[in-house]
Amino acid sequence: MGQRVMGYPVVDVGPHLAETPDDLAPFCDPPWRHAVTNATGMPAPWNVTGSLYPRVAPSTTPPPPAENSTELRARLDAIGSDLAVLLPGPLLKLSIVHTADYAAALARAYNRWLNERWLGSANGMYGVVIAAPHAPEDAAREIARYGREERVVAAVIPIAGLTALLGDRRYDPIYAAAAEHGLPIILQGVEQLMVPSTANYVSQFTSDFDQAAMEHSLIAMAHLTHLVGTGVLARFPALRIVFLGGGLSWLAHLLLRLDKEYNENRRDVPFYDDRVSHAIRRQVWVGTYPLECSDDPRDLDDLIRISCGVDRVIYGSHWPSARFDSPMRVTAALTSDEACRKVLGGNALELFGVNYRSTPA
Amino acid sequence: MARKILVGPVEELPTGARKIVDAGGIEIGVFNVAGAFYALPNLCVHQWGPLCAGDVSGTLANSSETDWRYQWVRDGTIVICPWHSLEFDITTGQCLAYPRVKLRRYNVAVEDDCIYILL
Amino acid sequence: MSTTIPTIGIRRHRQLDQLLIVDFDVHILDERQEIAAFCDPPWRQMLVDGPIVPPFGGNARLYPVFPGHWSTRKISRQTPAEVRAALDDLSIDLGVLFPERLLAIGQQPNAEYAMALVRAYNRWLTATYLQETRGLYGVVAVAPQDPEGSAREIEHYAREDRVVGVMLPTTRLEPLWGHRKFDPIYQAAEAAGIAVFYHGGAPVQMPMLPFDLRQFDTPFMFHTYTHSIEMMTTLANLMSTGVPVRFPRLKMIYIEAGISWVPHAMLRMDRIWEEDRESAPLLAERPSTYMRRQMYYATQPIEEPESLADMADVIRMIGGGDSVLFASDFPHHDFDHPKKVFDIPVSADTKRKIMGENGLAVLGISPLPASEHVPGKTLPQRM
Repeated sequence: MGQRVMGYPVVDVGPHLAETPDDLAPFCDPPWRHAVTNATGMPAPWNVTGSLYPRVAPSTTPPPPAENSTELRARLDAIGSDLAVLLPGPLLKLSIVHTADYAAALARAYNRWLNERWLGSANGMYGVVIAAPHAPEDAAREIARYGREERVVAAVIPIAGLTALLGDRRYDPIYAAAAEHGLPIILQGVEQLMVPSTANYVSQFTSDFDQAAMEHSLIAMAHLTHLVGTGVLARFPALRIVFLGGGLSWLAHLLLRLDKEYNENRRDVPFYDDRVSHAIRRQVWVGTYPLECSDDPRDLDDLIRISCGVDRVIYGSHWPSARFDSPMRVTAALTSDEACRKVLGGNALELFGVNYRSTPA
Repeated sequence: MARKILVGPVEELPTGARKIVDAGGIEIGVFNVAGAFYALPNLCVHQWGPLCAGDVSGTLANSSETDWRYQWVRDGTIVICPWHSLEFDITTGQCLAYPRVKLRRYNVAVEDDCIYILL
Repeated sequence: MSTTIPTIGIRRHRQLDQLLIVDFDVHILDERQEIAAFCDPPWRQMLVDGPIVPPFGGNARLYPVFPGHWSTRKISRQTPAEVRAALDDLSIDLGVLFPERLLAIGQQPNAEYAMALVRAYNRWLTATYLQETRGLYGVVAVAPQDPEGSAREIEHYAREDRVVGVMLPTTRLEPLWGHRKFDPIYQAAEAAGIAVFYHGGAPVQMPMLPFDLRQFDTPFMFHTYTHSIEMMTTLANLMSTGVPVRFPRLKMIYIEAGISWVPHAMLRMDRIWEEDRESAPLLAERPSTYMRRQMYYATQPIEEPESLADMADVIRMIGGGDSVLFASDFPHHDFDHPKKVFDIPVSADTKRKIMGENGLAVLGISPLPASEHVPGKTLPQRM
């Protein structure tokens, strides 16, 4: 629909699935399958619900998720997306699971379920496999296994609740595998994580407002600072990183700040030959969701230009979030056709190596 | 016609030493690095600090060439601006942080055991 | 990390000599020995020969320091006259003074000792730097451990000449400054008609705001993830409890975090608020509205992108320069020469505002007596 309306393809990176223990159990290796089966009917062990902060009025209820790919396809048509890159749902909180082998098993189960149940038909859907940071060697094997699948276009590391920041050498097998197989790595948090963890000391905040305002940025900035500061971008020059879920204005700030620190502290990061923003602009992408726009139409364009540049920005609806962004919301905020074309689809097609041929009208 | 600015007797500037002289309104720092003399402007490109008054030192390298381990290198050849620590190779004027930034260098001559800057 | 900037060879720049410059962040060294004489017993003994505890110490240097590193260049004892002379060399007319050691006051677990220290600092500040030194102004130090005691301290200095605000340190803070327990401080500051200045401290290697820096094991990393993190988090918390609404006459000023975080904070909070107003129920308007109306942002460390015009865009996003205040952070290792901020390609009007006119308005010093100007400086045509 996007192609017909806009004149160019709209790639949604992306809608979220809603994997349940029932969904995953059949695909899960023993002995963990039994724990997953046992979780049927209860909130998933990784899906920590509830808040720390009281509120008088309820927060907005999100729409129900799609139960199968036909339903999701219809929803995407309604939103206006041609292609979609499907993202996990509750398993974006995987990093708070303590048991490493269990977390790795859940990731493998999700990856199998995703490929069998969602990526089979030619319905314009692509997916990302979960790379469990608890077990980097296992995650590397998953990337190698699915890297050849046409419909798998990236790996995702859930960063909400991840204690060891991403520059730690333990993650090297994941980066090596992703670089070797040409899969970008998506780094995504969640809307609100109530589990205290690195960069997310929830007890410091007073309400949903400050916690929701800060959590995503704090976590994303912590990880990018660590990735840059430990030289990951230099050691894996073919690695491509995609930050999703926290908007993009944080990146403008952090990139400027990192360049300022580089001026004085080059000796800490001699992996780089020039400003660290050069490496970031080569290797880092960022999603628009949730879109930040002000009353001044210049602001979004300028933020994009100051940070990663318009070639590195990726539209995503993040449906069925209560606050999902339609493509219209994004095109209304950008001031040039070229920017719309790139952000709404062109950048994603190139990043994920997807050949898109529009269906005949 | 080239002007000669006297820096001082050679003994005043042993290896590792530096001296800042006023060359008629501009300040120039003269360094002795491993027995050879180099002269750089005493004005940092960053925020106009007294570059040549900084520490003469080495620096850290870390790249594929060092197997991604930190190494202490170029000892005695780097001057570090005392304001914001920008590093410059004394012998070439090259700024380590920014490949496109290179300081101009002044020619230095030794005559009758005295060091001169040639402008 | 406090370092001395050698003031040899500082050049005067003609453009700066035609401009009124107000500096919103100048640090003075409040070592134990300096303030001991002003400290009440029994705590005075701690400052004379007691063990070194926070805020004067307690932060081990946990990363390797190589020769030539900026942290090896330590701040030396300065007199008010020396500070004044250095600012003159930088063409700076007025300076707002901040402590060095007491930036970390929040790290001291003993509330009584913390309160004794801030009292000692305030007495020392007003008895020395703020006496008879042209163009130097100060902020009252307070102890977050004792909001009531701090409120009384603010009241005590409310009418003191040259006291222009209250310093609220954002390092080692638990809870954040929006918490209702801090209301007495905000009440006292608002009643006194002086601003609150949020100021980050030296990065500390403890699990606290700014959130456990141990994994950031080089200065490059921990100095990135520090001041601006503290400011953004603090500001979001202020919105949560409605501080700008409950204290509508109170000006809030953010020091030493640069300015590129401000558009992010504005845009992010506006989006959250638009979708979930219940979560910040006291806010009647968008968070960015309060941020433009009641809050100010000091420039240092000014970001230095390859194109300085990008900073003009950032300033526009903040609200066009009316909320931006020049600061040098002299004599710290990452101080900014005023010319660096002056060179940002904004209009001449905006430059004048950022470099000094906003400052006069914020500090309530207008018109400025000629005796407060840097000697030899051209008096501004317009103020």
